[in-house]
Amino acid sequence: MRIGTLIYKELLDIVRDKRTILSMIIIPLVAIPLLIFVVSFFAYAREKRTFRETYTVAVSNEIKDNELVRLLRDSKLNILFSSSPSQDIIDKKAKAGLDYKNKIYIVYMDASSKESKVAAERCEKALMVLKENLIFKKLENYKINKEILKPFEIKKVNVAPPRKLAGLFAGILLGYLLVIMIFSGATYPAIDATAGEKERRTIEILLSSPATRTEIAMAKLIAVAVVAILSALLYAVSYSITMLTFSKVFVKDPALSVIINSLPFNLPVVLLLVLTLVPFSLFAASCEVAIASFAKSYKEAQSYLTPLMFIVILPAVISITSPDTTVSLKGAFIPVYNMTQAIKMIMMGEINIMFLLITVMSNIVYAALGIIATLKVFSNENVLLRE
Amino acid sequence: MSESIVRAENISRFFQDKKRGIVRAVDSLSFEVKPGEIFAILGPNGAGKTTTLRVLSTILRPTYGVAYVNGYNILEKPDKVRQSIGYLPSESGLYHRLTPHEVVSLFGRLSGLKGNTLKRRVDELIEALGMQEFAHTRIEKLSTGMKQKVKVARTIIHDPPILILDEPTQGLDVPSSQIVEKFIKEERDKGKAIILSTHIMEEAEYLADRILVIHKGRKRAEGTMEELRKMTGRTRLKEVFLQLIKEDGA
Repeated sequence: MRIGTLIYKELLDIVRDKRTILSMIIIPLVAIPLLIFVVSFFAYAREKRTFRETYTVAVSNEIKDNELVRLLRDSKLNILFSSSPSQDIIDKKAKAGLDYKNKIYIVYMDASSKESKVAAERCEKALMVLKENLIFKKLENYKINKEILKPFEIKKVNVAPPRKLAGLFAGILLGYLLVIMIFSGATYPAIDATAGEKERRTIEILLSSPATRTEIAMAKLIAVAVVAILSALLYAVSYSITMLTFSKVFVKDPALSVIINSLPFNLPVVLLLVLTLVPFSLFAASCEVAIASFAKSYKEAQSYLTPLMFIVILPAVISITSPDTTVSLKGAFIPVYNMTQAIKMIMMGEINIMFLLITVMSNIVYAALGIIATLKVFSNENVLLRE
Repeated sequence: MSESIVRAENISRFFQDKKRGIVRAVDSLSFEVKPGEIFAILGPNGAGKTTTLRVLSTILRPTYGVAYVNGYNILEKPDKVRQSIGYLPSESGLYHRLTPHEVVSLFGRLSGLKGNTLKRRVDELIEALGMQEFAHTRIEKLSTGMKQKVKVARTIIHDPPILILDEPTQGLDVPSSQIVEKFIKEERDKGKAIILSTHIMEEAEYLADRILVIHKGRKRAEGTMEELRKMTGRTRLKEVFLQLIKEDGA
């Protein structure tokens, strides 16, 4: 089996490269968890501090209502009486400002500052309580039961099982992550196996061996697809473990704990994911191998493949920014987008068989077209021997 | 005289160039090479030497003409042709992240060797070329001379009857060149047909049994050193070569 020998050679060559080890193992297993952990830790700590902290609010000298002042103080706000509350925010003397003109309370804030927004929210809440208290007092004066203001109550109940919520949460992120990582994971090996061969001047010895060009091209494609899929899975596993660990260590919300514990990380889900990802990886590998083959150097190949990443990121971003769980079958024909939706379905455990089948079949067709294109490139002497 | 093992019949290879239009890299070239013979293709840079060797190695298809290598038509049986040759391209590279043992074994397997036969042949070559000390060291850590030995081992791992060597000593220092020249003579003595391209006159004079002089893709002369001397009335190959090119109006 010459193709087996060629795949082994490609994989050995890729795996021995420090750059592959760095991008495929060190970054996903060490750098990414560390980065997520550090960034999340600081973001979480900052978020907690923002809500715990007492802020200064500049209150107009015109406001004489003692009850409002008391309510503001009870809302973790220090009062700074001022003649110009809005200016005090600009001068960084206060995080929010409160004025009263023509029976209108005006809350000033700096929309670019999270802390200012929180201080303004506290002012608004204090004003709402003040408003409610005033209404209740007036109702009491008229001897009307204050319950008249609450003819009924509204209660929202979530019927989605924790498994579905967890799947949606994980699926949106994983769909995006896996798709992007398959394409970016294929980039380096695709360049190394094509433009790299030309740059190292090894392409001729390979072409003059008894192996056929179809065997050479297919071996490169398969090796690149294998590396891409492994790289993406490593990223996904590393990301999931990091997020789970972080949530369990820092987030004490019991409702969230139920969701986290329901995350569908089990063998059938992983197998189904891998099965769907195989044709997609071949499609990604064939696109990148075919394009990189036109380059005569590593640098040139990188510049050819960069626009491809933009094309891939677009449908992936659409999928992440519209996390709708109902999907149209037409979407199953759109490469990249179909994969992100399919991953979301698998993770949620609510599989639309038709959508999944069309996704897999269309990705097989796209992979086949990509393979045909790659074989065509490999039969073009001018492209292969470009110097 | 034994029968030829390589026969090129009017092979031509044209390229389309944006600035120059159609370039005739090789134009109606015919020659024959016999087993146990070193056949040198001599020509200046851009004469068409590499293109000729690439056509014989089936890396490039001829625009016109045909060649037979070990009895196989290069157009109809390219895989059989590649099985019959050991091709060493000019300034070729190696897989520098692999070891010499891995590279030589890889090309052995691609040529159909396996199991004990492959192991025996790899060990035999490693010993014959004195590669024992660095056989399991990554190629990126080897010197030029060591790398040259790996290239030679890779080329002959399947013991092909024909060797096609494109500028085999180009870019090499004197000791590395000697390794290659010694190897070429030894292989010729084993009865192999060797086609080598060169633009170094001394190399052609020292190694070749017969010389084919080409210029601008076309044959200028062919024969033994003696025959070429008689043809031009000159003694030194350099003078012979210049005379042949001058006669062509170059």
